[in-house]
Amino acid sequence: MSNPGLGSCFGWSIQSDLPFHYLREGGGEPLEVREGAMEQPPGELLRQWDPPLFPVRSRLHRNGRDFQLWVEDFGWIYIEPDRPRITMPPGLDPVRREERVWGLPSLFCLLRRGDVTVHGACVEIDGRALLIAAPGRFGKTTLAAAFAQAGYRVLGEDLVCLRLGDDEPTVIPGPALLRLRRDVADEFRIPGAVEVGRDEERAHFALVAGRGTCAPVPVAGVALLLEDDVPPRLDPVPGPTAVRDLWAVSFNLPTDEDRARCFAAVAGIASSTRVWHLARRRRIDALPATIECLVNAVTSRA
Amino acid sequence: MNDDTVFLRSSQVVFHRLGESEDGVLLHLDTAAYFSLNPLGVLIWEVLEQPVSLADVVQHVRDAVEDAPPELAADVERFLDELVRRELLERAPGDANGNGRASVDQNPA
Repeated sequence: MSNPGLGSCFGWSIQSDLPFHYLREGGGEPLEVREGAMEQPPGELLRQWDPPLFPVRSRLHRNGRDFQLWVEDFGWIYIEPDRPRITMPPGLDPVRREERVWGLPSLFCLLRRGDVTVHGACVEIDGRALLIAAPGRFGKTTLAAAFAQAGYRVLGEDLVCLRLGDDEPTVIPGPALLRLRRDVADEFRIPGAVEVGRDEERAHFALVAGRGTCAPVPVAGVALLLEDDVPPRLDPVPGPTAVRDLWAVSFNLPTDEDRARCFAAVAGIASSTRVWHLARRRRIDALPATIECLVNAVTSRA
Repeated sequence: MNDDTVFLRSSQVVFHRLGESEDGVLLHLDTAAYFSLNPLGVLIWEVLEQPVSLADVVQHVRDAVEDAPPELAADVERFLDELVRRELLERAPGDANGNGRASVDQNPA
């Protein structure tokens, strides 16, 4: 490999000849990312996603301990979580390819590494991580962008990696990126953000300034977004409800062993972390008040 | 139901107590369905660590709960039936030598 250690993401040192836009500083255990045609025939079909429920037609296969992911208009991705190594189809747009790497392919590698993964965004407040989670399009990324504009570091914008240590849960920062709807993007001026792509739906930003390293950040709390349209308000969530809601936005490998492991971790996180329901107005001009509410809650350390 | 009916936890269920609280959560590994247990439900679930008869479960709860209501046995039986219906417990014909109501809530997701 001619270009080792390009930077880090999810705690890995990225080893690749390919260009990357969203890496952080520092290193870690190696993750190899390369281009290549898939040589192995598709193995057991585990899951498929089809429109209109899902935006893109995809198929997930298992080949021994490896995974094969086929995505329409993209091609085959070969994922070897034990190495770990991700082989992407050749000839793709670099931004699109990198964003795909930090999705499902990374997710499988993170789960095999023993971490917990949650669909959500995450920002750093006063040296601690605030996870912003919700099942669907509840404005997680828009809220993360508002934090970025206010000078806070974004630790994740779609997939958040959590580690349940002996002391307290931590977040391992993911790619330094934000994908915003085009109309929303035009409302923000994020310092140190570089637009690296724009398609029909979204503008793609690399968060260059202040991206930091992938050193673990202790979790301060979890905000689960509600659909209410009221002034910002945080309500503590009872443990069983916190587990239910976190479990609904977490991922696991399709095995009993991994499902049980992830459930134990989610229960552990819900038990050791403050979890709130966040009601707020979903308007751009209401974002500063929401940020103030969350920052006050995190820094109070009650 | 015969008081000697024996209940066994399904091998496809994992349980976790939530930190220092007395609540607990269950996950069915096959269906990924999630359930929460209140403190009395946790007490009963922990009794079920070994195969145990309805009569023994009722007696255990009666010993643990102050001022157990007269309808305790019926409440426990109803709770165990609910766990069986949700495939969290299995029931075997009995040859074993052997306040509030427990509750189990399923995650609607």
